[in-house]
Amino acid sequence: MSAHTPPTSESESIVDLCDAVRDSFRTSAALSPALSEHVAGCPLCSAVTQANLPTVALPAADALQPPSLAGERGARAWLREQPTRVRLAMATGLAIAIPVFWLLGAPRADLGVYPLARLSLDLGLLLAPIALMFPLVFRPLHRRAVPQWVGAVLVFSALVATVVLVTMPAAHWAHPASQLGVGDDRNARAFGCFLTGAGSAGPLLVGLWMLSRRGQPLWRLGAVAATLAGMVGGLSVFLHCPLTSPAHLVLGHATVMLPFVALALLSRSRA
Amino acid sequence: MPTSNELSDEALMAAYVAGDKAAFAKLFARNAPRVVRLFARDLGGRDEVQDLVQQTFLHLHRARKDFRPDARLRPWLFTIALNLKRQHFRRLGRRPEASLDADDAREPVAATGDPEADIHDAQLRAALDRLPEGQREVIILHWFEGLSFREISTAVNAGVSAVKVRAHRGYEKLRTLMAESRPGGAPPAAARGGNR
Repeated sequence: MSAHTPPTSESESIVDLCDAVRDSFRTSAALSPALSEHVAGCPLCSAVTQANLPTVALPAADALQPPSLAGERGARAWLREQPTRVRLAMATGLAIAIPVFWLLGAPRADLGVYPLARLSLDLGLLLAPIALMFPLVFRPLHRRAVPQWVGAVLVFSALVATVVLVTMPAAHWAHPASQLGVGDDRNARAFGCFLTGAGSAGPLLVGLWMLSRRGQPLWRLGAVAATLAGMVGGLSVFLHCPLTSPAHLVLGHATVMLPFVALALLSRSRA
Repeated sequence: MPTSNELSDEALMAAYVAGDKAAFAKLFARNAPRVVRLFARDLGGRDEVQDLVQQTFLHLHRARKDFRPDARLRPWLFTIALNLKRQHFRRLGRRPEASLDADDAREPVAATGDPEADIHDAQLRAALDRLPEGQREVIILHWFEGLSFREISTAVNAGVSAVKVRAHRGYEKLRTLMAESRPGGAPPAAARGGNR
């Protein structure tokens, strides 16, 4: 066995023996014959015993004050103390309800003529980042955090997906409603879609904030959460608006992301 | 029937989840010193440490319904603390390892009052700061916090084998660094404690 290859047996007895050796050395207790024999054959325990580390005193507990739980009242406190699976289900439910509201209440008029393959592609570009971001937003603090670059990649992917979605050639011009918003009404219609998307994303953002356990202000909720809300806003407006002009999509649909990207950048700024 | 002082951390946590508010104070009194020590090793200011300790236990309160009855509390709590520490340093824009110039502002690793031990302590702190983060974290949890390898594997979300490899490399490197830091790179003096 090489010097850097300690025994890696997962058997309970070996692991427990290694811990027992450590405990003996931390408390200056004599090693039993069994432990001495184990140390002789275990590179890890040999390294532990040769490191010559000191025993450690704990700081006095009487000077420490537990956190005040007086502020842990009200709807937000109740929501954020729910189990993670419940909070995740609530947020997912809200994220589904908002686009479904538009789909059922005011669906895009051209759904019947929208090419199926293109519809699948467009929905995939919107739904994939949303599906990937949810588990990250709700990863509880008692599980080791995923590396920061994972969140950055997801946010970047969501932005790329948005740009691709609005810069592809028009899906179709087969419906009269799809041909609107290319003349004098361009800005007004684009602004209407921006408001629809941003207004749809807002409730989800507030919902995510209410369910977050971190207690930060809304504007520092986090880059991934802000982007997630923006993507759900984009999905909502996609399911509602029949206009297919790329210019309209850039001005009215892609811009839905802007306030949320700004929030994402604010969240990443240092306090 | 065991008294509250005899109850395990897990039994106290179960009682707290079931609504026994006094259990929270007992959990705090029992575990806060360990969390203080975990933070004090890296942070300079006492206020910073206190703030992070409070945040750790506030999260324990908020996440209490996520605690599984068959889980161990200490790795669960230490994962919260380690994540909060990482977030704290990310906000500050620096690595967890403080510079050696800040040594005197931090809590000693071992408070002995013995000048020779204090020198050893400073050397140990410097050596720990030079370890890769993964090895350093495992050694702190294993030696200084007394977590078992299985508990550490939960806290750092890695397999027991991977944790043992990190520990082995870390202890070896620590020994080398400590030897180098002694005048003339002398071999380590007889280990303290006298049993080995």
